[in-house]
Amino acid sequence: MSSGKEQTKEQTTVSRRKFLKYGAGAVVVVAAAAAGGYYYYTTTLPPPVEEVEWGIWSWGVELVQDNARIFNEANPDIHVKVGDYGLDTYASGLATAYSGGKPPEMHYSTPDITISYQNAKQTYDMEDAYPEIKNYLDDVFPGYRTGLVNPFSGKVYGLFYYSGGQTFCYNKRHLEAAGIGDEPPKTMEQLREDALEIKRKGVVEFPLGFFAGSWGFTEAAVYCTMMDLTDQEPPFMWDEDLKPIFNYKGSPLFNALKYIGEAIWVDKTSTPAVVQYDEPTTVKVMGSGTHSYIWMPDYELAFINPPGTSAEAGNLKFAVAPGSGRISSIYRTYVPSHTANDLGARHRDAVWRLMQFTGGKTTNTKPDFANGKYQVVKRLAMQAGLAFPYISMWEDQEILDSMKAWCDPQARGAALAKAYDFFNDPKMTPWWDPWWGYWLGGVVRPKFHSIWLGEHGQPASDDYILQVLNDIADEWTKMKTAAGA
Amino acid sequence: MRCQGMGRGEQIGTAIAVFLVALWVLFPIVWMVNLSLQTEPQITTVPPYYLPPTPTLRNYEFVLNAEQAIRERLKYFGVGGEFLPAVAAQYPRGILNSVVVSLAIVGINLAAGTLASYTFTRVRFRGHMKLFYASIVGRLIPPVAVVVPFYIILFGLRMLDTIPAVIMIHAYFTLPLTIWILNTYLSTIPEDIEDAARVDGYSRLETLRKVVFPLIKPGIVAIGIISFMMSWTEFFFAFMVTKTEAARTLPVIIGFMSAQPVKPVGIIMASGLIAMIPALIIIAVFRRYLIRGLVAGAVR
Amino acid sequence: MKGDLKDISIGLLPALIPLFLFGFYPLAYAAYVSLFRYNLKYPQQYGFVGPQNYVEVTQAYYFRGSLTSSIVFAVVAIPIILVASLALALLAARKFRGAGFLQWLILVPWGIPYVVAGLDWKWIFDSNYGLFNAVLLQLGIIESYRPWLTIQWPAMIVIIMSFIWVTLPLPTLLFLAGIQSIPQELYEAAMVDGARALARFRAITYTWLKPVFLIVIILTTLMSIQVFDPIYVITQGGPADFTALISFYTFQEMFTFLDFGHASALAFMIFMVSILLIFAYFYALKMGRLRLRA
Repeated sequence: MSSGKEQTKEQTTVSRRKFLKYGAGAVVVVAAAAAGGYYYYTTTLPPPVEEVEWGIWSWGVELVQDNARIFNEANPDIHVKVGDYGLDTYASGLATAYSGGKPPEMHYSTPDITISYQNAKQTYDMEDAYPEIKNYLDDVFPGYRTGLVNPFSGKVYGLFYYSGGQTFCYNKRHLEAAGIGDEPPKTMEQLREDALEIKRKGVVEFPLGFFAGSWGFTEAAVYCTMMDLTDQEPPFMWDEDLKPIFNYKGSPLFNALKYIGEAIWVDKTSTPAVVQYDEPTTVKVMGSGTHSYIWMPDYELAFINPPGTSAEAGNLKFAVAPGSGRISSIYRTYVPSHTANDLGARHRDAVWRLMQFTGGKTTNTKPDFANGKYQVVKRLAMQAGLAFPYISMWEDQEILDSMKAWCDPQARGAALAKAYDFFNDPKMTPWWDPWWGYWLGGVVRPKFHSIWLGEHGQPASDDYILQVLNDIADEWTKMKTAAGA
Repeated sequence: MRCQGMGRGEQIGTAIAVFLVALWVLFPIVWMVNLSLQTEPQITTVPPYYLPPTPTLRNYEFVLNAEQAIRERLKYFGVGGEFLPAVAAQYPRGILNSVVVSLAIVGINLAAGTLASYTFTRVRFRGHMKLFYASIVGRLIPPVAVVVPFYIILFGLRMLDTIPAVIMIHAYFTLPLTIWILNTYLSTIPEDIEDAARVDGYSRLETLRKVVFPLIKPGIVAIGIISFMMSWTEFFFAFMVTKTEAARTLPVIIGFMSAQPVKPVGIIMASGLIAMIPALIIIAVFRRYLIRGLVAGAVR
Repeated sequence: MKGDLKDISIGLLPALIPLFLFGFYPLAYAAYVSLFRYNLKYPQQYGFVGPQNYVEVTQAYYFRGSLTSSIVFAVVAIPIILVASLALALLAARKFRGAGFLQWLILVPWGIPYVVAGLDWKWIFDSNYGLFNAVLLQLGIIESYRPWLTIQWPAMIVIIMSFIWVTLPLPTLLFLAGIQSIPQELYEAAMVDGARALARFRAITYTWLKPVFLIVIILTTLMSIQVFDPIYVITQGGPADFTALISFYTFQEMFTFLDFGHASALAFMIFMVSILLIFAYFYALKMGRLRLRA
C-alpha cells in the first residue's frame, strides 16, 4: 500500500511539474494570441456601430421607416432602430420605457410629455454639447421659439418634428346647398345662425362638429371655441402664479362650455357623439360629410380633400376662425432622453446627426446648416401635408405647389398665423397633462363630457357648469400643491 | 337523466336553443366577415351594407403582403390616395412570432406544469401547500401594477423586445391555471401503480414519464390547448415589452392597426379573422380530447 | 414516500422560476412601492410615506364613482356568466346530433384577440355607421341615430356584453367537462327512485360540480375585477367616467398621472380584495382547504 502511495506521490510530483511547464507555456501562448488579436481588431476592423433608437408614435410609419432606411444607408457607422410605441398607447409605452431605465435616445414629444421628463431631469439638452443648435431659432417663427427651450435650464433641447394648428374648416358644398354662399362665418353668433340654417334646409342634421374626444385634441373643441368667443387677451386659464382664473360665470371657458352644450341640446346643431371623436373618427366624419364645420388639425385635410380620397373630397376649405380668429397651435418636437448622453460622446454625436437629419438642415443626410435643406420636414410636408414653423420653408415654391392639391396655401397660412400656444397659458407645468388628460383620461375631460352628455340637464344649467369649473379648479390646486409648486 | 331518445318537444327546444347560441356567437363574427370584404368608402356609408356590395379580398391581400403595397405607396410623391397602415407590413412576421410564442408556451406548460403539478401532489414535503399558494398568488395582482417591474427585470437581463421575454411572461400567467387543473386531475388517480413502480426501482422522473404520463394524457392535451389559447390572444404584456417587429405578436400588431389616424376598419377585421383561423382549427380538431381531458380529473 | 431535495428541485424549479420572478417579485415590489411617494414626474419627492398613498387614493375624486361602477359591473357580469355557462354546458352535454358542432360553436369566441372583438362590438354600436342604429331605425324603434356609447347605461351594457361574449367559453368548457364526468348510474338510480328534475339537479349535478363551480367563480371574479381591454378599446372610461372601472383607474394612475405609488396602492388593494373573495368562496361552498390529494 505504502509503495503504491509513494508511487502515486511520485507520479503526482512528476505530473505537477509537467503541469506547471505546460501550463506556463499555455498561458504565454494565450497571452500572445490575445495581444495579437487585440492589436489586429482595433486597427483593422471598423469601430462598432452606434445603435440608436428613434421612438415614434404610429403616424406615417412607412415614411418614418423609409427615412430611417435612407439615413442608415448613408451612415454605415450608425444604425437607427425605429421603436413604434403606438398612438393612444404612446404616453404609457414611453412611461414604461423611462421608468424601466431605457428610454429611446430620441423620441417624438408633445409639450406636456416634454415638460414632465424635463422636470424629472430625464432628458438631455442638445445645446450643452452643440451650441450651434441655437442657429435654428433664427429660422423659426417667433411664436414657436419657446417650444424648443427647456424652461428649467433655459437651453435649446431639440428640433421641431412639425407644427401647425387646430384650424377652422368648413364644407363649402353644404354652405352652398343651404344658400349661405361660400363665405365662412365671421363671428361665433353667425356660426350659430349659419348652422341652424343648414339644419333647417335639411342639408345635414348636425352641421356643427367638435373634436372633443380622446387622444389629445379636446382643446380643438374647448380652447378654440373659448378663444374665438372672446375678445379678451390671454392668458385665459391661469394667472402668473398659476392660480385658476376661469371658474366664474361668464368666464371665457364658461361661455365655451355653454356654447357647445347649447349647440347639442337647444339648437340641436350638434350631437353628444362628439365626445367620442378621436382623430380617426374626426377625419372619417368630415370626409363623409356628417358635419359642415369643425376645428381640427390642419393636416387632416390632406387625408380627405385630394380628389378621390373621400366622399367630400374637394369641398373642404380652411378659413380664419370666426370671432377673434385665434386657434390653438400644435407643435411636436424631437426630445433627446438621457440615454443620448449616457453612452459617451460618439453615441451622442450619432443622435445629433440623426436629429439634424429628421428635424434640421442636411445635405445627403449629413448636417449642413449653412447650405442644406430640411429634407425630412419637407418630405413630411409634401407627402403627408404636415405644416412647419420654419420661415424659409414657407417661401419654398415646391412645397406651396404641393399644397394646392388639397388646400389654398394662402388660406392655410392666414389661419395658422392666428395660432396661440395654449400650452403656455401662461406657462406649461408637469401636472397639466394628468389634469387635462391630453393622452388618456384625466380629471377635466370626463367632467366636460358630463356637461355635454345631458345627464345633468339638457342643456346643463349654468350652476352645474360653474360647479364643474370649481371642481376642476380645486383639483388643479391640489395637484399644484402636491407637485411642490 | 339523459335517456337516449329525446321526445319531440325536447328536440324542438334543443334546436331552438342551439339556434340562439349560434346567433349569439356568430353574429359578431359574420359582421366582421361582412366588413372585411368591403372597401373603406363602402364601410362608411349610411345605412351600412348588410352584405358586401362588391365583395373583394383586397383587405386580406393587403394584410398578407403589405410590404409591397406600402413600397408602391412610397413611390407616390404627393398627398392623397388610399390610406394604408404601415404597421401591416409586420403582419407576416407577427404570425411567425405568435406561432413561436404559443407553441413554446404549450411546451413549457406541458413540461414544467406537469413536473410541478406532479411534485406538488406526490412528493410530500413540508410547506408544499404554502408553496403552491405562493406560486399562484402572483396571478391575482392586476397586470398594470406588474408591468413596470417586468420592464425593469427584462431591461436588466437585456431581454427587452425579444421573443424569450414574451414567452417567459406568458408562462407566468398560464402556469397557475395549468398547475391547478393538473393538481385536481392528478389527485383523482390512485398512487398504487406508482408505488409499485418505485418499489421496482424507478426514479421519480421515470415513474412520471413511463407510468403516470400515459394515464393523464387527456389532461395534458387539455391544458396544452388552454395555455395555447391564452397565449395566442394576449395583448397587454406583449405590447408593453416589445417595440419592433422582432418580437411583436399578432394581437399587438392588430391593436396598432386600429390606432391609426385613419382607422382602416376593413383591414383590421380581415387581419383579425386571419388571426382566428389557427385557433378555430385547433378547437375543431382537439375538441373531443379537450373535454375528455378535463373530465376524469376535474371534478373531485 | 418522502421526497428528496433533488427530486423536488427538478420538479418545481422550471415552473417556479417564471412564477416567482414575474409573479411574486412584482407583487412584493408593488407592495413595497405602495408605501413610498414615487411619482415619475417628481422623482425628487421620492420617500417613505407609509399608508399615505392608500389614504390619498381612497379620497381621490374618482374613487367612489369608479368603485361603484366596478361593483355594478361585477354584480351584473359574474352571475350572468355563471348561469349562462352552466346552462350552455348542460345543453352541450346532451347527446344529440350536432352536439359536437354546438361545443365547437361555444368555444369560438375564445380564439379571437380582444382588440378585434372589441372593435367589432364598438363598430356595431357606432353612432354614425353602426349596425345597431341602422336596424333600430329600419324597424322604426328610433327616429334618428343615437350615440349609444355616450349614454351611461347603454355604454355599460355594451361593455358587459362584449366581456361576456369573449369570456364565456372557458367556464362553459370547465362545466362541460365536469358534467360529463358525472357517472350516469347516479341519474338512472335517481330516476328509478322517482326524483324530479330539480331534485336530481340539486342532489347530483350541483354536488358533483361544486369543485368546478369553485374554479369557475374564482376565475370569473378575477377576470371581472381585472377587466381592462373592453374599457380601453370601446369607451376609454366614458361616458364621463361611467365605465372607468377600478382597473382602468389603476392604469391611469400609472400611466397618465405617472404616480407609481398610487397605482401600486390601488393594485395592492385590488389584490387583497381578490384574496378575500377567494376565501369567501371557499367558505361559502364549504370546501374546506383546497385538497390536492384524493
